[in-house]
Amino acid sequence: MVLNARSGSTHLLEPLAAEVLRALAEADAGMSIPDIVACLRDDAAAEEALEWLSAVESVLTEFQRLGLAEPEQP
Amino acid sequence: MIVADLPEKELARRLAGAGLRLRTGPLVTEIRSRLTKVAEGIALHYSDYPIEASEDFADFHVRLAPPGSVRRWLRPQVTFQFDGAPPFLPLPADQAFPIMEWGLNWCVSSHCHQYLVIHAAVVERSGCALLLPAPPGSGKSTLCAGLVSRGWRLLSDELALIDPLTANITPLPRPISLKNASIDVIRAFSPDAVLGPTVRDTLKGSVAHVKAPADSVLRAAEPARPRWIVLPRYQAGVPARLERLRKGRAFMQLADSAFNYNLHGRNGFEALARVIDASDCYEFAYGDLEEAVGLFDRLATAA
Repeated sequence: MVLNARSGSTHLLEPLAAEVLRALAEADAGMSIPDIVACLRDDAAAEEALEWLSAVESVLTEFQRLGLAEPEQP
Repeated sequence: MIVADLPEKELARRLAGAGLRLRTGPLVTEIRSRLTKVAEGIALHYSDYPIEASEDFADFHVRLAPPGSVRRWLRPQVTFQFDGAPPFLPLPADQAFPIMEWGLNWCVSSHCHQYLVIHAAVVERSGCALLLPAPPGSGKSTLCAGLVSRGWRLLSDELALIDPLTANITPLPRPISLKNASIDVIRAFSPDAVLGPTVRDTLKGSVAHVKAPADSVLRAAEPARPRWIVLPRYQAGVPARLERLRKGRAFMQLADSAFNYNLHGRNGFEALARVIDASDCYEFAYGDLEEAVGLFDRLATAA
């Protein structure tokens, strides 16, 4: 469960989303998608890497929609 | 002093005059009405409740009266007034007691923001509270009345008052509202239960209220800690079945059932999280009240 204190909205996160949010909160700084994947699965096999990158990207897109995280401006 | 200490005429006199200051759990309501059905309903259902002095603070000031029109004589109606204004449309006069109950629920759910208020029945045994959040028609009140008739303490049939600081549940025991087929189910299940008259053709169908047990009223200052959250669902013919509910889902269900979750912000989130952390969460289907009550008795014994 997570409360977005800015919007007052409460969200029930799926396990992967919860792990991604936890990684971002613990880092307390911007992270790249590969950084997040590495943080979640440091033993990810090469053949799984693309799936992980894609899954984390989907989660971040959803976070952006919900106002839970936003991409850093280059 | 409790309501039963007042002779019938004195009760009617107070209601018609300065008002009766009735304590229900942590709240005091000043009730005014000249209607016989209101006085009769209070005499029956609230006989064990404390009365406060007229100079003491009252949380709510309500009045039940006919609307000021020819409807006073032609198909008489009743309005529920809160601080002198009616928040609802009038209803037929024979629904005076049910509209008072619905109105009192509205007072609490709309104003008692010192609590996180959840639409749920709550009963307790050995200090452990069982929360039953559920929409109308789920069998929540029937199950609640069944459990109470077998010794569970009634904290509320409709409104769980969660203290945001402690996450404990503050009792607000009031009559249990039964609808339609549930009325006969409880009459058969618990012949000793005190039921008021059945009022027909309300917006909710036929309605009757079950008096709260005197012990529940007497212990209304005793909070209880949450222990189980159960989403009941009555389904004719199905055996009683308790299935684990993921805590995240239970959280969202409680948040959805709350009247003022958003008003509490972070405190509400944390209070609800504490309630969920302290509770085993289940979905519960049942088709037979005896079997359902037996299952919860065993659950409480094993706790």
